[in-house]
Amino acid sequence: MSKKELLCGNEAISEAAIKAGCRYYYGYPITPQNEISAYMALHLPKVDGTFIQAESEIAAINMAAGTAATGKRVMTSSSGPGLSLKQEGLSFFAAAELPLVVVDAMRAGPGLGNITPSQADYFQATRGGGHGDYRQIVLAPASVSEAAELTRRAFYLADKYRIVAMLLLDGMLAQTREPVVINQDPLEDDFDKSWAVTGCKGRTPNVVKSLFLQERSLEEFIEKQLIKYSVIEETETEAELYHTADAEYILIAYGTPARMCRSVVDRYRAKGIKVGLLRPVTLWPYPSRMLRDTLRHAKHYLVVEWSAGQMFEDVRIALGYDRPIHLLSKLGGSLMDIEEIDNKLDELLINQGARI
Amino acid sequence: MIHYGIIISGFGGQGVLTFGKMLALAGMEDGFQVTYYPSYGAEVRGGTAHCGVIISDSTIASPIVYKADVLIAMNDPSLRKFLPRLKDHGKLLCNSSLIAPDFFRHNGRELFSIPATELSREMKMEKATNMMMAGYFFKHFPLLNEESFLNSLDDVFPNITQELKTKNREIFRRGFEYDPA
Amino acid sequence: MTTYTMPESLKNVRTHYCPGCSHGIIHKILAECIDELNMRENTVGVSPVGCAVIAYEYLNLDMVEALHGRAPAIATGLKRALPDKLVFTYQGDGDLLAIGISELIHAANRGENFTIIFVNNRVYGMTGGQMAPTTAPGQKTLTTPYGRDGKMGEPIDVMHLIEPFSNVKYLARGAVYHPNEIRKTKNLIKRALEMQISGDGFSLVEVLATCPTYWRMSPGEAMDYVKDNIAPHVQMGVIKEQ
Ligand code: SF4
Repeated sequence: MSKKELLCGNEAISEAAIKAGCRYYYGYPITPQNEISAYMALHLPKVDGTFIQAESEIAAINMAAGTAATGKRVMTSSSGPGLSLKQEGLSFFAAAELPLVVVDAMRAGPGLGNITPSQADYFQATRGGGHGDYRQIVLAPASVSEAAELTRRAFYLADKYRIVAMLLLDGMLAQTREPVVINQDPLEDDFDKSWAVTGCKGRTPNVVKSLFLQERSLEEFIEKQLIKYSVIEETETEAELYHTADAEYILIAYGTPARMCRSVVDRYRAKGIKVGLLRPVTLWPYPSRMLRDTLRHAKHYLVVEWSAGQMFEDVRIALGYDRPIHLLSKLGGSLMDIEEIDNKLDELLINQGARI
Repeated sequence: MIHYGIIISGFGGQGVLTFGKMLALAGMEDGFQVTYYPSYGAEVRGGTAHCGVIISDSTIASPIVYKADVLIAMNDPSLRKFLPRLKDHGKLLCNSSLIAPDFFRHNGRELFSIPATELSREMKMEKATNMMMAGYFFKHFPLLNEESFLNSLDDVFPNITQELKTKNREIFRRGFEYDPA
Repeated sequence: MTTYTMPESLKNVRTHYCPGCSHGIIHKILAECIDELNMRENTVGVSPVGCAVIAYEYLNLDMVEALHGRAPAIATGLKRALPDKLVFTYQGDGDLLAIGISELIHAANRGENFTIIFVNNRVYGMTGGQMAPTTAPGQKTLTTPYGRDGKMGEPIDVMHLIEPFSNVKYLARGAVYHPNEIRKTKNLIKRALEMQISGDGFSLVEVLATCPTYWRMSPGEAMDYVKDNIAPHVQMGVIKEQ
């Protein structure tokens, strides 16, 4: 077992990527994810890996496409404004069915916005900011350890499904240092890569492409992708259910706000109030079914989000109008305070006539 | 239950972030749950730098130190900025070299002050003001093991020379032994 | 007596290019070079966005199709992962010098060890004949109906742009309007690929090409136009070799 280290989210992701067999990283500087390129620049050469500080976000993701086309594990990372630039690349990856791990350490937007932590890239990440009919897996860690663990998983999923797997974390988790032990063993990495371009020795040539001009060929390609997406929805959806089994009040949050909510749940449970937390670990696929299962006992839902209420829409899609869904949102990257969650919950409880 | 929130603040270049990282490393070494959250980006350039360190014996919900148990202020502007975030019964550790004397007359909180900049300048290493403050901090808040803290220098500066390590230890010691009386 | 045979690196299929278009000739000499170097099974090519987007339908090689202008970035990622393979991009003027100029310049400056085959026909073909960065002053296109004037910039010479970088090892310019020129150009391409194989660094060969369709000329007129009005005004042959 490796030793315990004090790493920030960015560094834990970098180290976990290297341990997962990623030997290629291309990136462009942007706050708050610069620790990733610094880490990769320092450590990749030690394992005969390649680090390039690309001339632009667009070049970085296209370099990643070149390496991914050879079947090798590759990563790139950025933050909001950079992710906007990378979208053409992400759309290409989807069409070319190339595996990729991409990190978005979210800062506040729109525009250059603010460098402070935020969760306002949820729509872009889960709906696909690039053009066309496609999906990408989105994983949302809530601690530095989980960031490392989900990085390992992201490489596995990307290869397994030939899809983009994004790690979506708020800038706070990207910057926070916590003790972490990085797991040494990569998950299964023995995938069929017979599609890769490596020189056509002993076979007919392979082509990695995103253009489908023949009649119906794009339609057929997308149909095939939709089947793949539904398999992912069936198999890979994940959420943490914290005291939800009998909860009357359910908090829904991901990332750093979710760990804040966990402590809120503890405090209310100690007072005998049935509060629980549903924390999506996969944002796409979204754990809609798990959320619907709570309808049997839950009376109120409270979404806690570091944005104007983007994940809120997925909660609405899952639950419809069967129960009141409330929103506590923090805008523009301003600091989120646990006390505000307490206050909002108190307000709900008082309106319900509960004694707190 | 142990749950300490510490804010360290000063201007960029005073070693504020290094100090915080070393505290968190020492806390980890001593078996606590810890988080360290720095100010990042534009704030680091020239202006005030600060970080929050939490040392706890249970899971840490948020790495933000909303209300600090201890505020370590290494210059005047950062003291004034972060004082509102010190708990009513929180403790204040000041670098009196860089804090206007009028402040000390009005403050009601438990106050520990040390002319850390002057003392480290005397020892020909003004850059190690943070270690001077750290020594003084460890004397008044014996929560963590001194050796865990000092050993973390190697983690923070992997290429540090033996000579510099010794010098840092001496400065830490000087801070520890400082007696305002 | 030598018999002409299809190069193995070229598929025996009909292309979609217009009659008299230079792409067919350039594909063929490139394929011949790869065959002669015995590299067909060890090559990965990158096609651009432009008329040659589906070059992989004609070249019998492992290929990646790049987004518009990104071929040098794709090739960077390919070559870094496959340092022993022959990697080339095949790009037109809009792809290389407009939307992809940043990728070109930085790959050249890093001295990425791949080869760019730059097909310069001074116009956007695939989208219907718009102005390219290399369109000549006064040249009429769909988007310069009164002729390209100074407000639309001057033609960009790729050699001027990247020649100064010490990591750029080989630059050359050829044409395909006459069998002699075709032979010369083939040799330039072959030299560039050989240099890549020996690990020398970045190489680029520009080919002065025709687009009879959007030049609104017959194939013969277009070839003559290159001979009489383009080639005499630019430096031909090897421009840099280090
Ligand atoms: S439009 Fe021009 S460049 Fe394109 S295929 Fe036709 S002749 Fe060739």
